[in-house]
Amino acid sequence: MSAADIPVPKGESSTRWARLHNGGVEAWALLGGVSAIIIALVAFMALPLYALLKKSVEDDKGNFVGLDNFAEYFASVGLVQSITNSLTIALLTMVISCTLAFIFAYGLTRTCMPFKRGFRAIATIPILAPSLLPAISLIYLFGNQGIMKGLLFGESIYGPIGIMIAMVFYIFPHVMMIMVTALSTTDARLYEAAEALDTKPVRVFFTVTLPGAIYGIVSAAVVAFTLTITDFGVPKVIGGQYNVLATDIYKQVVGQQNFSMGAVVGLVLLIPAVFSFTIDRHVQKKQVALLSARAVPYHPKPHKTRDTALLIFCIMMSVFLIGILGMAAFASFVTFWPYDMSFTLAHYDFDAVDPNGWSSFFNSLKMAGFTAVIGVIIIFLGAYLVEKGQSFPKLRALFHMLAILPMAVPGLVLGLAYVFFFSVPENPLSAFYGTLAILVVCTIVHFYTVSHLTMLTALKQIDKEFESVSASLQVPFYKTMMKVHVPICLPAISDVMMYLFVNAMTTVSAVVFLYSPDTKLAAITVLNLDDVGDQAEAAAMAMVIVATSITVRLLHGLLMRGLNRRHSAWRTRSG
Amino acid sequence: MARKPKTKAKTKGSEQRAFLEIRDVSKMFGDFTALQDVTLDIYDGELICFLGPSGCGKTTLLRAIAGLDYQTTGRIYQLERDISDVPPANRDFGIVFQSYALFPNLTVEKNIAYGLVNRKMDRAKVKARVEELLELVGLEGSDDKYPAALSGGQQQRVALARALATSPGMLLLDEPLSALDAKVREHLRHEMKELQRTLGITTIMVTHDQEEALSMADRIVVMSDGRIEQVGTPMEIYRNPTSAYVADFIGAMNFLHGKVVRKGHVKVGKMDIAVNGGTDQFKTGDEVVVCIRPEDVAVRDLAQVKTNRYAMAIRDVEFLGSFCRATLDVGGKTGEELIADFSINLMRDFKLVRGAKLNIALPKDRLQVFSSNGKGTPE
Repeated sequence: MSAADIPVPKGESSTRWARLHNGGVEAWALLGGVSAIIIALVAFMALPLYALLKKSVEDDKGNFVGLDNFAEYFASVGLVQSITNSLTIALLTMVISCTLAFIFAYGLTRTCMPFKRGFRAIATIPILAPSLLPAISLIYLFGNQGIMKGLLFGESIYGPIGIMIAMVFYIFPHVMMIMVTALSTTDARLYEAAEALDTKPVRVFFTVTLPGAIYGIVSAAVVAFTLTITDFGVPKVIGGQYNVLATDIYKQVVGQQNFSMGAVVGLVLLIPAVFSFTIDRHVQKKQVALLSARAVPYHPKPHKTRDTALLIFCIMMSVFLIGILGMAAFASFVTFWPYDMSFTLAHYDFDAVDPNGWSSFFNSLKMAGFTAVIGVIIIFLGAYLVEKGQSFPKLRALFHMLAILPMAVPGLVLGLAYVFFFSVPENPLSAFYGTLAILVVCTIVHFYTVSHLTMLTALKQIDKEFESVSASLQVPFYKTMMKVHVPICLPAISDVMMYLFVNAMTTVSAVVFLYSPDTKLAAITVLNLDDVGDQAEAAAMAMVIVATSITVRLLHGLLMRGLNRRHSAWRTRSG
Repeated sequence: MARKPKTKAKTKGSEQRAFLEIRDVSKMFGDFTALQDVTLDIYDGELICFLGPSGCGKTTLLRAIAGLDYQTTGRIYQLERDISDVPPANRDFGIVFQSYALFPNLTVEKNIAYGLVNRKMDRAKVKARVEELLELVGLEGSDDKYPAALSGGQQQRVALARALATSPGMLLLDEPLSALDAKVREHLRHEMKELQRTLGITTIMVTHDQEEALSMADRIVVMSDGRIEQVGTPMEIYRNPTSAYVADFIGAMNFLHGKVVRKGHVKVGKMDIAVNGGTDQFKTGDEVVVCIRPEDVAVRDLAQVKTNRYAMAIRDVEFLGSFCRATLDVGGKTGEELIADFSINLMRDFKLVRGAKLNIALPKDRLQVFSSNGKGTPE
């Protein structure tokens, strides 16, 4: 039963109307803003997902066939095998990456080893690259012509081993950052108490360290699992004959044009994603409770053996991360790996191998720029309305719920849903299809949740009475928002813009179904180049993306430093 | 609607309506009733305090008056104008919050001028008004500082200046002093009262601090569980609480549990206490509590006193600086005690130490009797 079905007593509804009416521009602006953003999320997320669901119970001609498609899917041995493959890869990658990331994060937070800042910076490198990059690098290292092929003892890199190594590289920063947070939030007093009771270090680790970080570890594991099972770039490049759910969707839709079956696989992929999303939300809530306690920060004391061991580990991990990136960089500059190692820039002449070579890069820049600018405006307004809006509590709660959902939807599924929804000629929004705009919208929706939560956190730290004060001084809320909230939130705004930009530059999964020849993106070009065997060019394009991301990140750093200096008079905490 | 202008606040004749009239205001948050049928008149120029423990509805009532959270039912009139459904921007008030809510990225000057600038007032006038206000709150020369560079007390003054800048008809203060150190608080209490008196602005202050309410308010509204318990001047509230709840909430109070033995007499332990008329509503055998303030326990000049004279032993003495708080043994099986505040002088004159015996009297006119199952009666 919807709210509209509940009979409203006459007096109450007229009071509500009077209040809205008396509120004037402000009340209408608030109502309009919340409604517009809800409608946008419904149109660009809920309805496409519904179209996907509908497609899965229809045949090619659009007739309703019930669960026939699902029956067909589960009857196919090859397709069902992919489920097992996907789960195996995801679980193994989860265990490996969490273990490595935990040790790495432990080194960063609980030891006195040197170069912590350096290690931390190195560990975030993979974020700047598309997931295709580690896969390409691994082929150079361990592929048929790989220099280190011997290390695999006859096993092939094309398959589960390659996928897992590349995935560990790709998801490492995400997992590591969660682990660092989890390990940073421990109360030093617990360690002092343990020490006072003369507890052995191993016991301290299992009774204090691990329980304190457990929510973070679960959260990291869930993130690792989801990222791995939903990623498309890595298995596409290095998977060989080893099929996983993500590549199945692509094959069904792009290869065989079997849209209904694509929809079915999409729904199957949605299940683990939603499942881990639910676990993560649950864990996050508990984590917050753990954080709110007034704790004394932990300062590690020097311990030679421990510090040295972890330093060695972190160096090895850094070698791995830099090695993968360096391999791609190196390969992009040599004439013909591994036979002619002379330096060349020829591979950067993308137009020679792909008519949309360089233009796809500029498309990416444009798309990422629009995504960052438009995205941050919408996300800021949305978060502001949720957090600071003074009326329409039910509408605001509904919007908040919608804003959290995109996190549960894998990029591939979202992209496919867009195809089903927007490609239908009857849809008035179908003019959108094939434009850069749809790529921008899709990318904003895809990365909405994390940005929304970041913004919400920043806004929550602002005094909740500013709106009341401004109302009492008869200043409309939007003026105060521009004069006060925006300046205070600039660090978060800049963070979100960088996050959106870098992700828009590197994403493949959401946009792979949506680009047209005119709107092809750089990351897609990497995929295509690799597909046709132009591996050096693919590596070169991936490096262009990395270079762009690094530039943006440096600009972001400079901007933040500038902000901090300019606002040092009132900004007590740095962003 | 019967109004009782029995307070000393300016009422300007019985025909004129109050500055602010609150009529049957209720507020629900889901199933929770935060305010229940609150009816209250607030007079022009008075400082009225909403006093009560957290969760009693005092802030909810203030926010309803401001329009920040609308009441669920009931009406509010300001100078006879129905403002019940009017948004805060179209009401006429200035407000100061416990957190001050100063804009951190704006200087003191810009904070104070915030409401003025929006009214398209010309620059020189704004500047002059800001200077005037800074002088009023004693912060001359702080124009260019950011809030972070000010102490808590100074921030509070800036918030006050900002609220007064647009010359509102009413000033609302939501726990304005709670975030300050005890010393600063006492000082500002006095200053704010002075300022309010000088400006003659109708002021509503919400506080959980009874000392603050007693020292600053013209009238106090004691609230509990979303209802008004009692309205009156600080002296009335302190001297003649109308319920055990108010008696307990304001100041220290002895609650002696006993039974009505006959009209005008209550038996507490072995004591037979004669009380003024207050027992009319009780039958013989009813369980009641007899209340007396610790400072009302009489020790000097007992010679002429005939009623309510008792001999008691001092069980314990607590030294509290300017006076001592003695715990007296009432006797009887219940182990009931009586708290009495004695001046240092009296302690010396009567050589009062732990274990000593003394005669005390419970002056009849200082006793109050409430039903013992009444709300708010202490355990």
